[in-house]
Amino acid sequence: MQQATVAHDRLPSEARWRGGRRRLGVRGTGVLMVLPVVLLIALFTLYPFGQAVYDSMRLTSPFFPGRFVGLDNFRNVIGSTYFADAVRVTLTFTALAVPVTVLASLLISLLLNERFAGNTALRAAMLLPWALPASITGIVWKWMFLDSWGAINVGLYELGVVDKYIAWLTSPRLAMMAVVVAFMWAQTPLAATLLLIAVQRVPHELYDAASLDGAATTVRFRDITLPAIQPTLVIVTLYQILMAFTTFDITYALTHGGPGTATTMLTYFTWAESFKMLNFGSGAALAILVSLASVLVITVLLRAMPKEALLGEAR
Amino acid sequence: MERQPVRLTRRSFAASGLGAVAAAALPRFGSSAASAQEAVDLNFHIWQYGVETVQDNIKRFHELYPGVKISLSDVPWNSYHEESVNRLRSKTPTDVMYNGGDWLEEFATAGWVVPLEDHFDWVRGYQDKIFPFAWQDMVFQDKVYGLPYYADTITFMYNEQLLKDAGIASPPQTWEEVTEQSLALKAKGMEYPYLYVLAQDLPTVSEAFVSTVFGRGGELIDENDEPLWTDPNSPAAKQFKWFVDARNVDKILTFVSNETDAVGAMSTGQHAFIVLYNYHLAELNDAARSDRAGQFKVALMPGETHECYGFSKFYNLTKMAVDRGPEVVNAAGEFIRYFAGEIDGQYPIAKRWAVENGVGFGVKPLFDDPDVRAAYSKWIDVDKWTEQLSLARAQRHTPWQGIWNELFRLEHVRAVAGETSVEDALQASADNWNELKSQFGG
Repeated sequence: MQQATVAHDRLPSEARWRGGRRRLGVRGTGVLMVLPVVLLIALFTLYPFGQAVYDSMRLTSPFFPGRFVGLDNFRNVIGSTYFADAVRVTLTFTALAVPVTVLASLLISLLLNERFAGNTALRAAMLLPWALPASITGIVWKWMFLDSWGAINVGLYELGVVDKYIAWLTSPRLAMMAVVVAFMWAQTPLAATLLLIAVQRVPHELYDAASLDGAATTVRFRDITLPAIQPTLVIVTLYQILMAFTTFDITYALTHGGPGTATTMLTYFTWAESFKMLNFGSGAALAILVSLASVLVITVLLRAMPKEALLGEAR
Repeated sequence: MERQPVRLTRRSFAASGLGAVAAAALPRFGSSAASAQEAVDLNFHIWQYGVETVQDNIKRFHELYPGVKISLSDVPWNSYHEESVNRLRSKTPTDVMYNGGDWLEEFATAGWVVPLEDHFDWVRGYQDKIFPFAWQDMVFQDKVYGLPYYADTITFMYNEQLLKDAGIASPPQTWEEVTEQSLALKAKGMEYPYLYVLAQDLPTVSEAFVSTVFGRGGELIDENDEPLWTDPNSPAAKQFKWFVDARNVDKILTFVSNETDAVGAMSTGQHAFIVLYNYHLAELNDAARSDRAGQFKVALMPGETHECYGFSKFYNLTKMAVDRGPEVVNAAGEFIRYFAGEIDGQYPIAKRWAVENGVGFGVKPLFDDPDVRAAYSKWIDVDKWTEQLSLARAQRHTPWQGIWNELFRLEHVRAVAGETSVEDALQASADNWNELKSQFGG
C-alpha cells in the first residue's frame, strides 16, 4: 500500500520530467548537460580573455591610474621593432620545430610499432620527457648546451670531434637550433604516442596483401600507413603548431630570449612587456594578437586541407 | 609555580588605545614579552639566495623571539622586481621584504614601503656605523628606509694564473688594457678572455654595467635626472661601446645568462676576466666548487678613477605592515634589528653571511672583526679589497629606474648581439628614459 502511494507520488514528477524533456528536446538536453563545463570554461577562459580585451584598450600600470586609450596599445606594440622581430622569430621557430617534431614522432611511432625486445619498456620510458615541466626541460638542455661547460661540448671535445667548444647558446642560429631540439625532445613523446595508436589501428591484412603483391616497405608506408593515419597526423601537426607558437618556458629557462633577441618569441615578448616593463595594457594587446594569430593560422590550415585529410579517406 | 600568561587579542590590544604606548614600552618581543602576547605573524618576502641559511636564521630568531612567527616566501632573483610589484599592488600579505636602491624610489613613490626611521628612533643611530654608499642606497627624500641585508661592491676579477701563463705581469688598469690583454690571451689560444653576465631579464646586468661606468669616473644621469649617455664621449657611452666592440669587433667577449653559469664557466679556465658581485670571488676561490680555486683575484675596476658601484640590499618595512597595527610594526622592527642590526654588540646575521658566504656587509664594525677578516683572507686580497671598497660609491636613482633597467637591458643585449648599433641602442634607451620620466612626472 505504501509502495503504491510512493509510486503514485512519483507519477506527476516523472510526467513533468518527460514533458520537460519533450519540451527541451534532444538539443536542449544536450545543451543542459554541457552547460556546467561551458560555464567552467567561460570562467577560466572567456572571463580572462574578456579582461584582457578590456585591459588592452586601457593604460594599465601599477603606478598610474588606468584610463581608456582605445587602440593605442595595439598601434604601439605593432609599430615597435621588438614586435616585428618577435613575429619573425616565432614564425622561424614554428617553421623549424614543427616539421622536425612531427617527422621524428612519426619515425619513432613506426619503430615502436615493430616487434623487438624492450619495446614495452621503451614506450614507457619515452613518455618521461613529456612528463617533465617545460622549464625543467629548458634547464636540462641548458646544461647540455652551455658554451663553456655544457655536456655536449665537453663530450664532443673529449671524443676529439671538435677542437674548440661550439657557441651553442651565444650564436643566434645555434641558439635557435638548441631551442628547437629542446622543444622536439619535450613534444615528441606525446606526438609519437598518438601516432603509434593510429599506426596500430591500421588493419594488418592490408600489409599482408601488399606484401603478397610484392610492395616494398616504402610503398606500403605511402599507400597504406600514411592515408590511414592522416587524420591523426593532421591533428598532431596542428597541435604542434599551436605549441610552437606559444612556447615560453623553454626559451625562458634555456636562452632567456637571447642571444640578443634571437630566441625572443611573441610569448616571451608578451611576458616581458607585461611583467618586466609592467605595461599590462600593451601586454594584454600582445596576448590578444597572439591568440588571434593562433586562431587564424589554425583556421587557414583547416580550410586549406581537403576533408579527407581530416576525416580519413574511408569516410 | 608557573605563571599563567595574560593573553591579549590584537583587537583588544588595539582597542585599548594603548597599543602604541605598550609597543614603545616593550622594545623586544623576547620571551617575557612574548608570553604576554598573541603570536604576531610576519610575512617575509625575499629573493632566492641562501634560502636554507635564511630559514636557519629565522629559526634562531624564533628561539629568541617566540612571540613573532615568520612566514617566508622566496622568488627567483631574475623576477624579484616584477613579482614584488605585483605582490605589493595586489596587497598579498608582505610585512618585511628585501629591497635595493634601484627599486626603493619606485616602491616608496607608490607608497608600498615606508621609512624605517618614521617608526623606530634607533634607526638613525646606525648611520655612523654603515658605509656611506650603503647608507645612501637606503635613503630616499632624506628618509632612511632600511638596514642592510648585505652591502657589497661589483668588482673586476681576473685569473692571475692565466695572465701569468701568458706573460702578463699585472691586471689591466683601463678598459683599453682589458682589450689589449684579452687580444694577447686570444693570440695564445683563449677564444673569449672576457666573460660577460648578460641576459635581458637579469637585474645584475644593469648594476654591473653601472660599476664599469663608475670605473671610468662616470654616471648614468646628472643631478637633474637627465641621461648622460647621449653624449658619445661620456663614460657611459664609451663603456657601452666597449662591450659591443669587445663582442663584435675584437671578438674577445662571450657571455652567460646568470652568475651561477658564470662561476662555472670561469672555473673551466676558458676565460680570464669578469665583473661580478664581489662575493662571487669567494665561490670562484672555493676548492669545493672550483678546480681553479686560488687563481682568482680582485683588481681595481679598470678606468680613470677605479671607482666601482657600491650598493646595499636591505630589509624594508611595508605599508601593509603599518596598516596591520603597532604590534606588527614593533615585531617587524625587532625582526629587522635582529637580522640587520646590533645585538649585544654583535651583528650575528650579517657576520654569518660574511663568514660563511663571503657576502659583503654594510656595517663598519664587521670590517675589523677578526673572524670576518680571517674568512675573507681565504679568498680575497684584503688590502686590495679595502682599496676598492674605499672607492665604492652609490648611484643616483629615480622612481622609474626599475622599469627603465628592463628596457635598457633589452637594448644592451641587442647591441652586444649585433642586432642594433651602439648609437641606436643608446638613443632608444634615452627615449625610453625620457618617456618614463615624463610619465612619472620627473
